[in-house]
Amino acid sequence: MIVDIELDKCTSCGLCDPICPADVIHMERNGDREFPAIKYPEHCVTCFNCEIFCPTQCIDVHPIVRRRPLPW
Amino acid sequence: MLEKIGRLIDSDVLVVGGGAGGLWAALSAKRHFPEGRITLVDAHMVGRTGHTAFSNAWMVMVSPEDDLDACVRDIVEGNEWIAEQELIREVLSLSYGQVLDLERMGLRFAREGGQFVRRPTRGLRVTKVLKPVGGGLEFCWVLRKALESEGIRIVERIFVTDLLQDDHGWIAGAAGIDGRSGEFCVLRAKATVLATNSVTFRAGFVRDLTGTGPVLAYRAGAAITNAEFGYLRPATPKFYFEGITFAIQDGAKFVNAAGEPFMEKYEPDWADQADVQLISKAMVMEKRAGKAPLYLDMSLVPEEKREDYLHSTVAWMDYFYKKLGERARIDMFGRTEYYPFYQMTKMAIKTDSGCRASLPGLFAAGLAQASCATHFAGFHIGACNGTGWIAGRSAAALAREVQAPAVSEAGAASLKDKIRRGFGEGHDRAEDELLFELQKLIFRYDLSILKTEERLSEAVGALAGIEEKLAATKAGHTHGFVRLRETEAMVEAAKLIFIASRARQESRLSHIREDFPKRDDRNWLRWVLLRRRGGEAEVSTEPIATPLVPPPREASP
Ligand SMILES: Cc1cc2nc3c(=O)[nH]c(=O)nc-3n(C[C@H](O)[C@H](O)[C@H](O)COP(=O)(O)OP(=O)(O)OC[C@H]3O[C@@H](n4cnc5c(N)ncnc54)[C@H](O)[C@@H]3O)c2cc1C
Ligand code: SF4
Ligand code: SF4
Repeated sequence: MIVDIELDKCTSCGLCDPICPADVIHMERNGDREFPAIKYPEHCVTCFNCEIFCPTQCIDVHPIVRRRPLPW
Repeated sequence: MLEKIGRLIDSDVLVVGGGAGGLWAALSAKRHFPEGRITLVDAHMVGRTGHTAFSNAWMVMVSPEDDLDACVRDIVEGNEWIAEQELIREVLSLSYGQVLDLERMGLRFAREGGQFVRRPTRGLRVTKVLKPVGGGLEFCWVLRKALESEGIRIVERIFVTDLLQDDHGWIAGAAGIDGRSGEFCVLRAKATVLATNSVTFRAGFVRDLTGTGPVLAYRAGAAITNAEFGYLRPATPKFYFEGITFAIQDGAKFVNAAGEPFMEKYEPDWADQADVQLISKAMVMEKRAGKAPLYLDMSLVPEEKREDYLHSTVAWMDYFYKKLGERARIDMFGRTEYYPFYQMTKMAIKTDSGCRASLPGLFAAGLAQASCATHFAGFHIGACNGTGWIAGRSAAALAREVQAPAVSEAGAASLKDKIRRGFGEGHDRAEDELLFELQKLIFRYDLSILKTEERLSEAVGALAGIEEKLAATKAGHTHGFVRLRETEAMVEAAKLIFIASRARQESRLSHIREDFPKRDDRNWLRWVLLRRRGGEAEVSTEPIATPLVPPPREASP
């Protein structure tokens, strides 16, 4: 699951928002810039897209799995 | 004026879903109708999201020197005859040209001495597979670039909620909302290809992504089939691991609570090398025998081979394996508890061999199209490539001939109103709770893996409660709205899975009935079809045509 975006390294390029297949990250305005916000971490599918494609490598995804019911 | 109701996008051919199926469908539509307006819409980012982008993209390829008929027989037999034979033949015969086409577009495949490097795949005897060097991400990106350069319009972040229909039931495009702003969109088209994949129940990791296409087609009145079949596999909820096949070849074994290997007992010929569906079934039997918990013993993989498992050509898996030890301190090479798991349904839109659905104007491609009941590693993408091409060609042929369909303002306005009514005061995570309730049901081994008439009927009843709560749940924002609609589609899909599973009174492939444990070729070389009539699922069956690969002998009366 996504755990952190180091905003001081972020250039506000905006890529992590549309590249997320689970609509977890939203660019949000803060003053005169937009910054990525982790809006729905619990819906992260641990695909690492945001971390892989972030040009400044400022996103951290942990390989943990969400809770799901077991077959027995 | 439709423009007043929402954003209007007019096309000759509309393709919904930008994975392997949809990318090829759009390209094919353009190549068969160069002056046509072709639009590809997706809920997310084409080329970077969806199952295809996250896959290895191993794909079946039949080259000119291979025996095409033997490959057709291979897939049909591997599917125990639940297969659209003529369609599969064309899919396979197209595969070589498509790989060459992909190379021309810039996709890299490994070659040795000028020949493609291919390998056999689990479950198939003669058909071979190959993969792009950069896996699914590169595959999708190269296709996306080709679409752009050929003048196909790509529209992203539109979540399709409904199919548009004219007064005669003709499919006239789709309606949806912008996944961020919530703006209502009308996607009017002469021909519509659904390539949204099939439905998953958010089983884990990137397979959490779900498609809604088969349910949209069903709601519009189209026939769907193969709902009783699923993709079963052993999995661990602790981490994601794609390499079970190779690990087993390198010595890993499934063991029970006492540490005893058990696969030989159930599958004497194949043991741990059996198909994942058979492993799943054996795990259930072992659990029934009181021998759970069950483990995959990876400690049997020799030290010198382990490094291979910590890397992948698929970027996300590579990150994942790297971080597993680093961040989660999980040792993959121990004994890890495994469960049999229902990954996703094979429910898909029934079409003819031209990928035309049973409603005029509607076509299907990729895993949203019902070419067969089990795809093996490499035939998922293989089938997507071919059905995409065929669906795009059929859609283009129709779009060339017909006038733009009439979409009534009143019809569009009522769809918009239906969406509006889905929003309201709601507690933020309501859909997560309902999804969890659904998952508790659908993942139960004695429902999705080992079935009986009685349990299936009870499950249909249990779903009614979830349906009722869903109907009363409102979304506070667009994100929640999309999640709610997806959950609604999953609940509908679950119901159709249980109903179709009750109808097929035999055991075949992943459909295992305790009360009908044998395969019955005499009575069940048939499609189980589901159509919506008066709000209810109408079940019928239809014989499977066998023009190329004759049925097994037992089938004759
Ligand atoms: C990790 C992994 C590895 C795999 N490896 C292989 C392999 O090596 N070989 C193989 O053959 N198969 C493999 N598979 C399976 C294979 O990837 C899929 O079966 C195949 O890619 C499905 O393609 P598709 O075009 O039908 O769907 P997808 O690629 O999933 O595309 C469907 C698209 O439709 C969009 N969509 C869905 N619903 C809507 C809606 N309502 N509105 C708008 N858009 C919508 C989605 O956003 C998505 O982009 C793998 C799968 C995974 C997850
Ligand atoms: S890991 Fe994937 S799903 Fe999770 S936030 Fe990043 S892009 Fe989104
Ligand atoms: S991709 Fe990286 S740099 Fe770009 S907005 Fe996201 S966090 Fe910032």
